[in-house]
Amino acid sequence: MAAVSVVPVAMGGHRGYGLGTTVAVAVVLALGLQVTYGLSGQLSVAHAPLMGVGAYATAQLTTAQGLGFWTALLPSVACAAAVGAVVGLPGLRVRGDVLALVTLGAGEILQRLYLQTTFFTNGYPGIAVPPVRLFGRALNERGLYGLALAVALACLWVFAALRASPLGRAWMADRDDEVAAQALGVHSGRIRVLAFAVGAGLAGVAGSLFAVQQGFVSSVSFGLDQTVTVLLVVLVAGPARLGRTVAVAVGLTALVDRLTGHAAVSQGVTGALILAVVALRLGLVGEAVARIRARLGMAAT
Amino acid sequence: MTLRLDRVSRHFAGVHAVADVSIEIAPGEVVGLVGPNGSGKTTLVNLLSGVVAPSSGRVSVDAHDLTGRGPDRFAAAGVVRTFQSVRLFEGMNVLDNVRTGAQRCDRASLVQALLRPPSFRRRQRCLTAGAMAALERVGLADVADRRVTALSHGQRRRVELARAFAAHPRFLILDEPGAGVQPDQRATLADLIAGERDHGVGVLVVEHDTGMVDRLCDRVVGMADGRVLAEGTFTQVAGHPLLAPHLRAPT
Repeated sequence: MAAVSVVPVAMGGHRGYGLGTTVAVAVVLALGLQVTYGLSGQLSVAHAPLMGVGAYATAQLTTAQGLGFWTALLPSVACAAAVGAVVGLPGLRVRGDVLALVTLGAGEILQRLYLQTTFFTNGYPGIAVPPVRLFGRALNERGLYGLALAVALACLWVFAALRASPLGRAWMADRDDEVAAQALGVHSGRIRVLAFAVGAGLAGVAGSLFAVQQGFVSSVSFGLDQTVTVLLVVLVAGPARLGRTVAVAVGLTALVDRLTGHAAVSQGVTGALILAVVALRLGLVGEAVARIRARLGMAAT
Repeated sequence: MTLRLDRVSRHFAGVHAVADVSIEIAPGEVVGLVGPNGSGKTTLVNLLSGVVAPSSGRVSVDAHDLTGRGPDRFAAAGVVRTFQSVRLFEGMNVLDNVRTGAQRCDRASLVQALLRPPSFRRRQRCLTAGAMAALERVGLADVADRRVTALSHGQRRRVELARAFAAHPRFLILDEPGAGVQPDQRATLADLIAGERDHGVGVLVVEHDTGMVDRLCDRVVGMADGRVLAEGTFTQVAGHPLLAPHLRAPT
């Protein structure tokens, strides 16, 4: 997290704190997917829409219900976890590509609901969110950054604690070999749904932070673009890797921020990253390096 | 107090892999399962561990009917197995593989993992100690931190065995535990299995090494074409005319 904490220092001023908060949100969001995909091996393509559940719940609770951010946080996370558990139910039957497609569909449904259920989401215009207050005073950019950093640290601790626990080992065992895991007493169905709920819960935390950072919640923030970005973070970092996840989240968020206003370049970079991930996962890079080494070796002899 | 198959059959697309087989494993005995390739031994092991459900017949542990239940229910009842092709959790290190076995009876709780009460931390220390003890038994304590992908085939086989030992089974099913193990280490392997028997564990061993089967097993079951053809001592089973050509004399 040192990388997150140096962002404001490196950037300086309000912009630095804003970017630092964005990076902290991205780290929390990526940690959620690291639970669902990295630990449990279930590819969820509904992660950003699940983040939206936390964001809309916080928006509603702080505006219509008049609750403070601190009171609204826990119910918002619980809502996201509950919706995540429902989205993860197909994981009882299917895995891999099929599960990815099913969650893609679930994400699209959530997106549609954000637009159509205007009584709850206010449709396309969205909902304005009041600032976070601490001891009666609204937090400024710096205070909000401190809050996001503390929450991100707490989520890192949660992830590390889960990974080192019997539940974390059960998740990884089921991910690596479900038959061998079940033969050691792992109840795959229960822990898979739980992985979706915990992953969505962390996405809900990210959503709540995002809502108060932006001061506004709208469905455009939780689309496929955002899901692809967080998927890239997790795929580049590797499954269940904590340090790398933070590093890649910081790097990618800073890059996206740098490319703001250059849509074509931004899309090109995202496309190139996707191709790089595919090449890495298919072993094409290692194969190419081995060939070059072999040729160089032959040339030397 | 037995692991039992009663008149169990299993067919795949009309082909009988196992036909009308009854077998019983009692605590504190080692039962050998022998027969030619394709005789249905691995299907029988899968039936005994819940990996495959029977087409007909009954599978029970201590008179509790587990027919059609999944392998996790069998594991909860104390039935632990290894596989013909070693199946480790490749993303974990050696110690975590074995700790996953040691936590067989635990319900992996989210709340406990997050709150980490003293009882939880004590249990974690206990799991780690149990896993290290199992690794020491198989002579792999010094590679506990290594990733399993970095191990030789023989070491991987021993990790799988340690994982099964750490689970404290009541019934242990070993599918070709000697495959890939150096001949000079087979006596040690037999001693380890005998040690489990001496602790009251009922063991079923599928093995091609007839010498090991003869020395280790209290009882031998011979199968061919999905049926049990003979049961008794190794000599009695090896004397069956249909099994004799496939069972080399013990060396």
